[in-house]
Amino acid sequence: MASKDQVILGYWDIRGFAEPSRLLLHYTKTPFTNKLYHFGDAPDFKREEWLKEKNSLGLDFPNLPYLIDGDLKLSQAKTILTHLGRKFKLMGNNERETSLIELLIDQSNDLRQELNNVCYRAINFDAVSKKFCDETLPIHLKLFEDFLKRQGKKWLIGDNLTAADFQVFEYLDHCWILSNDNWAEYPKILAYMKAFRELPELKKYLESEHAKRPINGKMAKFGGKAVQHEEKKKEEPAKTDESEKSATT
Amino acid sequence: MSASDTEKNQLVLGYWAIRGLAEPIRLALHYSNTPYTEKLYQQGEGPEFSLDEWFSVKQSQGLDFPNLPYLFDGDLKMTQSRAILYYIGRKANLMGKTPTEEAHVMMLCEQAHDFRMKTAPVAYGPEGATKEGRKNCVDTVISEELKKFDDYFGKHKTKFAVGDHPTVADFQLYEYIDANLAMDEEHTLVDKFSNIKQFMKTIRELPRVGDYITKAHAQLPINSKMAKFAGKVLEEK
Repeated sequence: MASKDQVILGYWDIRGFAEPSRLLLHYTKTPFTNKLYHFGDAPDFKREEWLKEKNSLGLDFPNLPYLIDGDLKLSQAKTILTHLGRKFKLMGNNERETSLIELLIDQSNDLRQELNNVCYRAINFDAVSKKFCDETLPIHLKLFEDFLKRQGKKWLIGDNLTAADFQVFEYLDHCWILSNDNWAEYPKILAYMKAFRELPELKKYLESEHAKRPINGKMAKFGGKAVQHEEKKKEEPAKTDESEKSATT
Repeated sequence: MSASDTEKNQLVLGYWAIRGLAEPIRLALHYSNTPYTEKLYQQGEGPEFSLDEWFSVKQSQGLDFPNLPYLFDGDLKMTQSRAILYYIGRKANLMGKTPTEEAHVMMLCEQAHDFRMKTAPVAYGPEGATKEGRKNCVDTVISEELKKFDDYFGKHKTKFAVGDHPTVADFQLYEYIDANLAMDEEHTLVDKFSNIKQFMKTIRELPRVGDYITKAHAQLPINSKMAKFAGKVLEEK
């Protein structure tokens, strides 16, 4: 069995973009060093803890997250996840499944990037967040809901977990934490997330360390501290001026 | 290429009539001599820049997550530019020879994608509309990112991005470096990065690739019509 020093995953002490890989490592019971970097406090949120090491780890493209696996040194969150996926045979049983897994990883990453743009907004956060929750998020959720319905399987690809599940669960959970809605129109998604939380290999981790770790950095407008999903009663739409619609490509 | 009609129709790559995020895929397809049908969606002229040619058919293509680019291969239907690139890569043996090489191929593709995404807001935004704005981007972000790739090549001293054989990383890097270098209107930036300069030359000299680039890049703009920079084909230096 590999020692903890064989595999080192380095990232901020947040869930962010590294948590899908952490989930995969916990699920496969792989010993690893969870190397955590901490931001300084407000107002500067200094990144010294990372910056002083950044260029001395032997990474080709120094960045967080990074993975050191023996003498393989990687950055790029998705590359790390799919590398671990291949290592632990969680990338599908044939070409079609592998491509679908990669597609789902990319698709959920698109969603997470949009969430990121909302959460770190200092100006106009409430309006931007509302637009995301009311307009952008439902489009993504409907796609995943319909996908799960069409697949008709326990997990995204089939009856076994794949690397895509760790990322899709995690990023849907980040959106769930921001959203004040009960997602009643997405029963498949709710069932999927419930099933993931009950995985015997992950249940304890999800209830403890995972729940205590914030989804974003300290400087984020939202999610810089560990928070729970809160439901708000649906209110009468407020009579405010519509903000200018942003251009989309 | 003497592909039969049925062979050619097997693979369909759908995207805007621009280089954008599909060009690395096109380079990989041409290098590997893979027959495919190019489905190009035209954008409308300003000021509306209508995207209706795509939007009117977007929901009826049978795609799980409708988006551009898309790839059809028999009954496989997929989206997400990098997932498509890796699929083509596996099909054409362009993902490296070992799991370690494969991981490096993907890391480089992701890093190059990040680079493309960093400067896209400049190309599409107010900064891209002025010479000063573009020069500022070139002098800061583009120079910094190019240095990372130049250092990478300097460190590894391989002929191609990963090892001594082409991989999809070569095509992703070539295209996104080229697209970013285009913003340097003096055409002097690449001379500061000798490893990158050599790499770009190596890729252009690959069979089928050089010819494709010469033809396609004279016809396809880098960015969409509504971009402030490179929404039309740029003049050759």
